[in-house]
Amino acid sequence: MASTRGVAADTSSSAEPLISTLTGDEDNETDRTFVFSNEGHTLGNALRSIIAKYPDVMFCGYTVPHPAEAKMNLRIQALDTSAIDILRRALTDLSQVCDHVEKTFIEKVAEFKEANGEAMEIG
Amino acid sequence: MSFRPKVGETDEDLIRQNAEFLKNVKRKVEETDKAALEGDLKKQKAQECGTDCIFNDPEVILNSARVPGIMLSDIVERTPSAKPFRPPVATTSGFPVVFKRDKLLSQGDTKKLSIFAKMHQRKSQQGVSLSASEEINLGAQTAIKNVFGPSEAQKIHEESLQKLSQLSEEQILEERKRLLASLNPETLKFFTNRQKGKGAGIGEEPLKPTQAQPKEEKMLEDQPIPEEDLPIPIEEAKKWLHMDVVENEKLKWMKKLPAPKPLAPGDPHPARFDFEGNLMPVNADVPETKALHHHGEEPERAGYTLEELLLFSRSSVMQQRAIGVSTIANILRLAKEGRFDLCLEESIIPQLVSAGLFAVLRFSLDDAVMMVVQAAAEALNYLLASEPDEVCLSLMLGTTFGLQQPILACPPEPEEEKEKGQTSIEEGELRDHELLQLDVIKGALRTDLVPRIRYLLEIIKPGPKTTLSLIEILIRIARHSRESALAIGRCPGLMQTIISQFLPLNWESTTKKPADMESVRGVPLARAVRLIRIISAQSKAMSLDFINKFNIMTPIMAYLASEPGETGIPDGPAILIESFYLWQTFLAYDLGINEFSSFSPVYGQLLSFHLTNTNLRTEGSFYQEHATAILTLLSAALNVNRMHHDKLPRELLIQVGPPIVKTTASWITQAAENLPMNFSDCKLVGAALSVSKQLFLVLQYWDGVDTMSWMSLVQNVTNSSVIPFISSKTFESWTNSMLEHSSLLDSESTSGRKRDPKGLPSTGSVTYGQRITSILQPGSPSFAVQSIIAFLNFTVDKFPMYKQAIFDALLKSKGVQSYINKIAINGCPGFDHWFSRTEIHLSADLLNIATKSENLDSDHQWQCHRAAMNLISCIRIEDRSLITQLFNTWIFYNNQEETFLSLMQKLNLQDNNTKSPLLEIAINELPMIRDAFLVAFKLNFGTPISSKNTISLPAENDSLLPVDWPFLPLVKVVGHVQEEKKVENKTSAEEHPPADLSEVFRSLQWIFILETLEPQVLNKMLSPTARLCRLACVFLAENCIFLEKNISDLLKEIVGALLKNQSLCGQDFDFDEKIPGLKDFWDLYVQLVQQYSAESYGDKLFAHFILIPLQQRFSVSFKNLIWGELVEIVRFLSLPIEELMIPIENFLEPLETNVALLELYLKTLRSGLVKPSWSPLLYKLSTHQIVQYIKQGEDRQFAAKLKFGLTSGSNELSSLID
Repeated sequence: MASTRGVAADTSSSAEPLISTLTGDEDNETDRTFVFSNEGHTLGNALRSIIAKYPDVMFCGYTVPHPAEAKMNLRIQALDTSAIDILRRALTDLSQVCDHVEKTFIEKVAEFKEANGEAMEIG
Repeated sequence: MSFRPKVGETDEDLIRQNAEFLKNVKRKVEETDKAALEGDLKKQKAQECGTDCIFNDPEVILNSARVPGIMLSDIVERTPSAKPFRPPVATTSGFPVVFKRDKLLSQGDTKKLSIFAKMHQRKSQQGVSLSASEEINLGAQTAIKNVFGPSEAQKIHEESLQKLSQLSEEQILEERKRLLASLNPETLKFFTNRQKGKGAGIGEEPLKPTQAQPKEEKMLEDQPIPEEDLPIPIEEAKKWLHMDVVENEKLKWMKKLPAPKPLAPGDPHPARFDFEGNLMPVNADVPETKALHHHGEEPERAGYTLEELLLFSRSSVMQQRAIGVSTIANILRLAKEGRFDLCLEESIIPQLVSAGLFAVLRFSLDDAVMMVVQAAAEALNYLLASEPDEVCLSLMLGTTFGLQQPILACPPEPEEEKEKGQTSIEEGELRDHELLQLDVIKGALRTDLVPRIRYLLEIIKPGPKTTLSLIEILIRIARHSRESALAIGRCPGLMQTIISQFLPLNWESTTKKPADMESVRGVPLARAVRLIRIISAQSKAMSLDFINKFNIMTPIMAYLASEPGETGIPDGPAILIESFYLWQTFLAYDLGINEFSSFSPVYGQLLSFHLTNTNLRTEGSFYQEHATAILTLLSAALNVNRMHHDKLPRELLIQVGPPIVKTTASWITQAAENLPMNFSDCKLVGAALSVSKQLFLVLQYWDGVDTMSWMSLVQNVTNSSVIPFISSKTFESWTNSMLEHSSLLDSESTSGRKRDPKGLPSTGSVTYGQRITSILQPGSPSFAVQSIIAFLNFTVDKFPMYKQAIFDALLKSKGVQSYINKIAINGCPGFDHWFSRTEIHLSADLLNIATKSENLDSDHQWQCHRAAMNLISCIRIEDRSLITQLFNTWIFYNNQEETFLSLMQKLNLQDNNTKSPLLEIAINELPMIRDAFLVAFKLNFGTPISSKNTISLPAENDSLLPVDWPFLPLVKVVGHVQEEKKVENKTSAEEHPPADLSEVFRSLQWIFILETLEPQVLNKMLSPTARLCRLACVFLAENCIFLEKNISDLLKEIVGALLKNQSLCGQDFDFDEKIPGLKDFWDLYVQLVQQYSAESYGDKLFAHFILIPLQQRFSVSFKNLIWGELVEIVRFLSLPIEELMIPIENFLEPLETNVALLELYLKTLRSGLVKPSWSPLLYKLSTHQIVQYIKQGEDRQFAAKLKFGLTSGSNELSSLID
């Protein structure tokens, strides 16, 4: 493994980008460490568990390097697909999963209310 | 019945007793002072709460509250007496009528009653005569009673009887029931009691009957004893003087004692002591006249147990107190000498300390009776101070490191204990008795022991023995720490008293010993000088005070100037020697130099006396000791900072130099003649050689010194005396006995500390089993050998022409070789021993000489290297230059490349796999590795020259390098990330800045060399498990340093070598063992797993660290963690099976039987987290275990469940079952 240590590449711009990458993986497309600003374990864990399901991924891990800093690092190492594509796919999938959850939830609530009458409050 | 609480009773006992006590409605007995003495407040508290626990029933509480005085306090409220109060009868005369006896009374009355009683009787018969009008109304109650009067009561009674007779039986019973229900139970009880105790008066309390109970029992006890039990018939006894009332109970004491029941050897029994403190043999037949029999628990056995003696020491009889305390003193003295080491189940002194002996003795020291104070001072002396320690430390005086004193403070509590939830308690928050357990001396200071001693010495002026004891106590307190030394030095009036009383300028000549004198006031005392020396050794500020404020140098110089042997001072020799060393202590702080100058004429005389007259043939040891002290004084003077050299008497020193060297030569020549030499002779030879060397080193920089002639002088000594000496028979026998007289290599040498209580450490000069530590035994040559080797170390460089002769004589000597060999093989078990320091220097110098030899064969080189490896972690912080020296020589340098390369070749012949280019690189880069370690341990700056404020050192060896020093840089990189992973050596871990990469790399290189070439050395340092944990630190470090190629390559090789060694030497990993420096392996493992799933980059080596504990032979809990709690990791443990460094069988066999784990396997497989494509190993092992269980598992029902689970899964899974 080549040296992957380094600092965020795009931090120079005045407005901090939502997602940046760490240097060190310039020689290939498949391995990347993404730095999400203003994100934490919520997104990290969800993305990781989705990416873990992709067969073409060798490694995926995330960490919040410092609890006081709102930054989350997500590492993706894939076989042939480029890491950014995997991230894109994972984000789309995650959003679909969320949509699905929401949809199912609302449906079920409506069903429940119908069955038990409007008066019943949930929770 | 209730008893006073006893020592052995538990809280439960006390609560039970309390319950009984309340049942008997007895008044609460004041808590005895016994409990207070035990200092056990908990017991008292428990008892108080105990009442709460028992009387949780609210009714009971209410009832008991209604009876004040029973529970709450001593005060018993009584209802006012029901008896009428009679005021004096008014008379006409103004005085009461004179009482006149009625003569009639005495006649015709057969009853024996006093006249007064008869009068009274008659009066009460006429009682009615008092008219109601005469009564004074004092209140409603009295009024009613008066109204009713005895006759009225009679009337009422008759009336009730009448009424009763009219009622039918049924009516009576009904009425009774009604009454019983309406009445207070308390009142009812009173009535029934009254009925039982017929004749009890109205005014009598309900308490009375129960109070009478013990008396009744006593009556039972007093019943006549069968006559044959008594030593003489009662009639006979009655004839004796003052025996008209025979007390059988006491008469029984005169009986012959039964013979003690013989105990089988090996049976435990309480230790009994006689008044001298000797242990009484359990089956001993001791005549009663020895006064050792008593009415204790086993009256037939002679002697007193500790418990009984402690009871004595609190007795109210003064003589008993004195005997108790002085017997304890004798026991303590013998215990410190190690007399009871192997006889008692538990060490006696810790037991006594935890029983609160100090408090007892401290109270006794406050006693008004001189006899008790005397005994208490003696006992405190033996408790706190250790006589053998003092003797041994005095013996060390005059040797190279003899002047430095140990600090005998309590070791701070280990870090780990503090972490276990117990926040470290501030000393101020501790109660007195708690502090006394933790640190006796600190506790003693809190009891104002020092001011009390001041009072005793200044005002009470006790006898010589007590005075000496008190000074000894002060010496031990001063040894504890700088603070305690200051507490003594700054105690108002104490030092003034001691110096004016015991270090006077004029004294009367006497030949008696101080202990035999009537008074030691106005007599110089050696012990007082020692006290000042110990305080000075602790603190430079106090030394300044002694010199400037107390003018201590005046008496000291007066003593030194007197003719040795004719001082007329009792204990004169001791005071001369002590004075010399006190002066040397001052010189160590660059103080007292001017006095040395003014003393120089006398000094010159004394010196020339010894140079001409004293030799090794001189009888006794005083002259040798005196000469040693004089020579070491010179060496201390030469040792002062160069700034002060112009204050020294240069002329004298230049003048005495050559004679000293020449005499040294003659002494050495004498020593070579194989004379029987005692300890002092050896010391003298050693001191003379050191001084000669030092004179040469210092004088060569002075003006007016003929350096060339000095050079030839030293050369001459070397050539004509030293070299012949080291080839002589004497030296041979010395080196041969070095092993035998070595404290460093004796695993028993620190065992003496076993008998110390935790709060009162000693140097442990007497080993467990009553043997003086080896190096100080008579005939031990180690101190002389050390000086000789240091001298040779210096001459080898100065005069290369003698090199060969020295090597031949020294390094080829059998004794030296076996000594080094022993260090190489066994390490230095006794390094923690105060008296071993000389030997560490000796060995380091020896190794240093060995480096300079060119023709050492490879076996010897190897031996030296091993010895250096073992020695390096034994070196004190103060001797850090030795570490640099060893790093530069035997450990990293000095042809070590060749040594290692040759070893590598040897290994390569056996096993081709070992060949690794990395190893070769590492060996070639040894100097770089050394530099990295020098930086890591801050050794590259040399010894910092700071003005010393103390010359005392901690008694415990705080070695600079921890045992696992090669791993230290690794642990350091995690140190600031993780707090709990502290290294043993706190200072080096905390002070250093975060380690950089090269440091880690170099230390890995070094570990690699050791792991491949010297696994035995590593095994001695740390177990394989601990090594694995230390290596795992690299993965936990910040910045993912394990991704650096050179580090990961090296680490991989190391792990491979470690796994190989571990299987070769049969030492398996044990993840349950206590790993030094780590709380437990589990925490580390969880951390590693989390780190892996977050930041591992899927590293294959990292995966190994996760996988190693997953092997089937290790605990199932690791597997449960991976497959259960932190299951997300299994997706990324994508290590290909062919790259696995451990045989795969370890994961497959033996078969898994844990049902819960198999269920986890199945669940994870079905969820699709584990697939052959991304986690081949885990897939293989989990499917293997499940399939095997389906085939041959014990629980068939579960196996069927597994099968169903597998077949209902994906195609891939169901295809497994076929």
